[in-house]
Amino acid sequence: MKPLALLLFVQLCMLAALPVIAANPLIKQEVFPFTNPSFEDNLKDWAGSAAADNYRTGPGLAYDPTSTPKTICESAETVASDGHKSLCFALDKKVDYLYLSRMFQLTKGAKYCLSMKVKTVGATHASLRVVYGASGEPQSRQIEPNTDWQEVGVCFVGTDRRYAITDPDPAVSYCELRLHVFGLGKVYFDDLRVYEMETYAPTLRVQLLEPATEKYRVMMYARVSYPKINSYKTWFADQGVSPGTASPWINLGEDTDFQGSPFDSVPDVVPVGLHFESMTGEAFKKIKARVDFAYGPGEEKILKSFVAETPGNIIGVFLPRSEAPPGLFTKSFRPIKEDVMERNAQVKALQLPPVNLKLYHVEAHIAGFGRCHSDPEIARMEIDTVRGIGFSALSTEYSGMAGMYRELGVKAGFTKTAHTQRAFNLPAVNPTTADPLLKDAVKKWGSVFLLNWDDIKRNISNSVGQFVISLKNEDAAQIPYIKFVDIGDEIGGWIFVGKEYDEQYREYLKSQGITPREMGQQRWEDVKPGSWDWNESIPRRPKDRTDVVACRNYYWSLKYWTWCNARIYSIMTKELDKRLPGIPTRVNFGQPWTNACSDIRGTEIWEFARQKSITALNNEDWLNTYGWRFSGIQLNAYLADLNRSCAMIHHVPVQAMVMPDRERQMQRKLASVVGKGAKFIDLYSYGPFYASSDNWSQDPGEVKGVAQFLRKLEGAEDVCYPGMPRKSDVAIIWSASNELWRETDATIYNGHYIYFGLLHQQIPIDYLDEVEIIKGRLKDYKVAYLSSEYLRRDTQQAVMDWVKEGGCLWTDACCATGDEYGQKSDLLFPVIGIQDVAFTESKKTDYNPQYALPQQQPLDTITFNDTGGKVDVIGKRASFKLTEPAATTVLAQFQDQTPAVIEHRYGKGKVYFVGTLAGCSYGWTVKRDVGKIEVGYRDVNRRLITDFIARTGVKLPLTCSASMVEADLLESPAGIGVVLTNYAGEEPLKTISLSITVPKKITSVRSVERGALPFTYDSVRKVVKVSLPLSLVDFLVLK
Amino acid sequence: MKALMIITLAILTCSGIQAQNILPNGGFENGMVGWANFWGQTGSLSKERFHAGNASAQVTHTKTAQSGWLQPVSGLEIGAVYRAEVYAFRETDAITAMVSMHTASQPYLRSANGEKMRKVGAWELLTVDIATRPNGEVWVHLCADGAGTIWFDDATLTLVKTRAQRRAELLPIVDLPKSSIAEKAQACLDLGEVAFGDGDLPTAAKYYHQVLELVPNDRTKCRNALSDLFEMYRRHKDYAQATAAKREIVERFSAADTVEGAQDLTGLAEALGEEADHLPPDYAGAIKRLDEALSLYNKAGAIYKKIDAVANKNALDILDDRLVVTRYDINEDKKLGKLK
Repeated sequence: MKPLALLLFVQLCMLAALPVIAANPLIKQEVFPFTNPSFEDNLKDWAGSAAADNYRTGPGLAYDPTSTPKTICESAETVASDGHKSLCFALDKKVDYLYLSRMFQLTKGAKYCLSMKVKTVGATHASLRVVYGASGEPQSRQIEPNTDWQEVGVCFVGTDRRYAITDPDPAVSYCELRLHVFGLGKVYFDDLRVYEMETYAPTLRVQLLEPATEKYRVMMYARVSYPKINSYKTWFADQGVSPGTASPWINLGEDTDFQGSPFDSVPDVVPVGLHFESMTGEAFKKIKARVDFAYGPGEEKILKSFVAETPGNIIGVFLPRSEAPPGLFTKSFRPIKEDVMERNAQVKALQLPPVNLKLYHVEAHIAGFGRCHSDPEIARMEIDTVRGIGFSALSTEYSGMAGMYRELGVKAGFTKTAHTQRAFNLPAVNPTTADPLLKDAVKKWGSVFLLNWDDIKRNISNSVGQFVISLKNEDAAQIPYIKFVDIGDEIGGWIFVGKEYDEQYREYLKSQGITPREMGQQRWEDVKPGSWDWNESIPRRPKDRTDVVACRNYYWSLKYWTWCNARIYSIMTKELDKRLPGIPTRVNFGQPWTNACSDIRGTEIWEFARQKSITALNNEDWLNTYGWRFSGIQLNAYLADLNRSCAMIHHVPVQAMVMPDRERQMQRKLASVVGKGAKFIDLYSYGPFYASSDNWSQDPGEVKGVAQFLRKLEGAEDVCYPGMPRKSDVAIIWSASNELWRETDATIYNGHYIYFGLLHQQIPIDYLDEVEIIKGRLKDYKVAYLSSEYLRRDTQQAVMDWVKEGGCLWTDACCATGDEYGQKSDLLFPVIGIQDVAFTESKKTDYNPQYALPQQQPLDTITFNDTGGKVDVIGKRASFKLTEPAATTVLAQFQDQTPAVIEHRYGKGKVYFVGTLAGCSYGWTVKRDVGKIEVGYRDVNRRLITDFIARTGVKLPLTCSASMVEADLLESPAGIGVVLTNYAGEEPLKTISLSITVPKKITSVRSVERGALPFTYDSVRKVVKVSLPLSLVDFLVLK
Repeated sequence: MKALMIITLAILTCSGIQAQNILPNGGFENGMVGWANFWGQTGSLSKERFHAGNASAQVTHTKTAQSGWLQPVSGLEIGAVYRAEVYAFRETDAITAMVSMHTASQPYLRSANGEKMRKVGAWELLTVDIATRPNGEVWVHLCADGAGTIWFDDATLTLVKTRAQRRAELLPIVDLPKSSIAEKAQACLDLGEVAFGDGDLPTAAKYYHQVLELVPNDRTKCRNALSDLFEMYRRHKDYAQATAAKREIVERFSAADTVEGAQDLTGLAEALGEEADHLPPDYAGAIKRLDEALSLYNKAGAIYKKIDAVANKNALDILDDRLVVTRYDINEDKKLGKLK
């Protein structure tokens, strides 16, 4: 999994906010190498008013120095941590990297700590760094957006390393301070202090008090930063420590792994497990030990000591990072158990009612026993903490719930877990092969595989057999609790080479009706697939689209690659099903907007669904409001709808990995996936911090948000869990071909916003891919949305036939103007009712909504004929003539009075065409604030997307008086559940009114938040009407 | 360049074929890349003594020991003969060296040891030949034995006999009246391998069966012939014949009530499972084979339990797994074939 975006560790941050105490034993004296350190004299000595232009940017980045207000200035708003003024970076447009520097001098050879107070407003990040004379050129931890004053610092030794100093004084260390910022908003720096320090390093001494009968050694486990994650080191392995005596001092500052990183999720602490072992490596069954922490060897340097008793042989501690600022250094050392107890108390302090989800699988991950500690009581407390939050399933980082964890988990009420089996053991090409082609492949890609299906099946079967044997040997009683098996994370295809792969390609092509001639060959023997690593898929794409044969081979190589990978996953799923019948398998595909789920990676999601490569559809969102947000956190609804649509092929369950965000956003994200029908929810990953690199255990906001949501969910569980969304009449066409040939990311984000437009109007959506359309599934839908530049020709034909027979097609400037081979196509133009089509495109090819879409400039304006409402044209503008004016209604016009939006009757159906990127035009007006949901969507812009639904007469299962409320209906024989989520803004909505079409008479309507609600029931139209306020998330239960 | 030296060896008078070295880093000019020090941490790169180029590999034993350097090579022509050569140097006769090779194809390995070195204080060329087995992989060992230091340099691996040449050598042995039965059987086994390499299944099968006829009481040779036969049929997707080969091992050459016997039963059951997997839409046929496999797994389990259930726990765990899988497959085939 990706590293978790940095989370605030509130307790430590509070400590960090404290001024460095003068009494700190690490501080020898304060020194003053800077004049005007608190900016009370404005920018004097910080280059004065010239400072505004005296910043540097990263390579290739230019920031406009003429911007107003000036980028760097004294704070005009008397924002200050100390005194009345501070230094302010005013980033009025997004900056990727920028710093202000100032030289200063210190005495060489001494150790120093430099600290500043930093405050961020908006989506800005800040840190400081000292370079040249400072040993290691250290960088401080990074301050996140919208953070009140916090202290950051770096420690270093003054060295004689220097840059561009003429005639240097050998006793002086010449350093440069750099104030780093990036983002959009403001950053304030204040209160610069420099201390000369005593020499200090995290230093540890242990004494095993019990048993005190034999020599011992100490193995230390440290949970370190990516990519290493785990580090183990043993001390006193040769001589041992005599019983009853304290060990020699251990200077952990000398060990890279134990030094810690300012970039870790809790930046100034390293979690360490102290393993006391006999000299033969035997673990003691119970120990009592004293641990002394000092800033150097010597009794007088001891900062903290404690005696701990524990079952087993491991005592867990938080160790300060070597270069932690002195304030943190002296205070951070403590037993892990203290943190465990604090978090447990935090959950209890929420004073929320007990919760017991009986049906939903909402999974927490905890780990650490055996690595970071050996105390079952710590494990019990952690289990109590996650149970208190409201989780209903427990796993030890996807490794089930074995032994002690099972016993404690079941006792606490956990009867669901999950496991992982990702060992496929595919037949690999031996790196020592003498075959020059295979050798070359190994050299190029490292691991390459042979497509021998007998060996693949045998190896997977053996591997799964061993997996189940190990489960039984580890703890057979855990097996009934396993509810799914994870078989892949952020998957990419294996690379296959060799004659079997080539032969099977030809068979595959034959099965697709392809001839050698189409592949540019006379004989099948000369047809060969391309093989490459997935990140080469785009570079390998034929640049010359007139080379049709190359384009065909590229397309089919990728389709075939996915087919092979899907088959391998289906073998794994089958083998697991033989041993663990009925237990679904899943993978985490990764997000489609990073070309996961596609043939580009050889793992196209629809093919996987069709081949039953997995028996539960799942994805992780990695969306939040303070880091990666792309089109917005509602994309997790998009992922859930995509998964649900794929899951419909074989009627398998939907899962969701809901990744961390803050309190209110977590509630929204959870509501979205529940509303789309997810029954397994994996909140990757509680952690805890000390045991897992990706964790949110130290974020009380998320803990609170999850706890509150799960209690609401419990209130509607009996209806929502068995419920599924009612069959939709509206489908969005999913084009795998588009991903292979698109030149920009416009279609990706355009598609997101088209989905959002429908979602914001409570229009339920299914996705349908090219192959399902060829199979004829469009007949199950009244309306289809098409916004893909490239679409298979046979799919286009199927769409055309469907419209002719009465289907209603919506499309925009991405209207299948290309086919699966990247060739131009005008097959659909007569259906759309347009000819002489030309597109004007934006020169800016980046459309990422987080930073690029807002930079797009309107190409034109569309004016609706009925209301005069205006919409800016973003990304693409279509110029066209009507093929059948008599059969066409012009609904809106560009500024030059030419048609912009039309509706064309074709056969028994009709087509609605928007002559721009309707989604991008909808998303272009959006405002994004750190920590908050997107606002600024305009109703008139949404009309481009949603007007057509009303014109087709599609009956919606539910309508809501307020747009931007996500209202999902889950229907089952037990009743109807409605999941309501306020995406209109952070303010509560005073009243929303819902009309819900129901299949039978309803006798009660209950809000989980507000209790029984008054409602009306129209027995003729079978419609329930109900009104209620909506603050954030609520559930309605209709029975 | 050591390549020059290799070129001098390019034409082998005995075979007449061009000898192209396929052993990477045989001159150790890239350090020890590709080589592994076996049976001890005794090896290092030497820049002080070398036969050509600037480096050699040395093995030092402070007391009498055996160790050396090895490198596996795969992707070789199946059934052909390869020659490994290396120059070795020693300062004392307290230690000696040789080059050896073995194949890496289960169920049995073929190994070949070269002559031990004779010279002291001078570089000496050591050599050994081996015919590859069905997976086309050999491991080249540069072995040191004794106390002292051996330097190795300019190791090569070359094709010295193609399958055609090997066949030409072996055929007379089969035909000559003066050849012993054992020699003929060995030649048939080798000819089977050559034909296997050619993909000529009928000829290979003929030779392998000839081994069974010539030396029906030589269990090792007969099992090897049948194992090769199984592997050959399996690779060519003739699963019924592959099963037949395994069955013949069980019926004629298996030691009952032994671990080997249990392994043979398991091997036959797995062959039946694989055959069954390829039979549908003949579901009835598939079920018949799976039923037999089920019975064989049970028999193997009984043997393991009779011998020592604790010592054979791992094998029994695997058999339990196979029973579960086979029952599942039977039910699945019944469902798909709509059979009771």
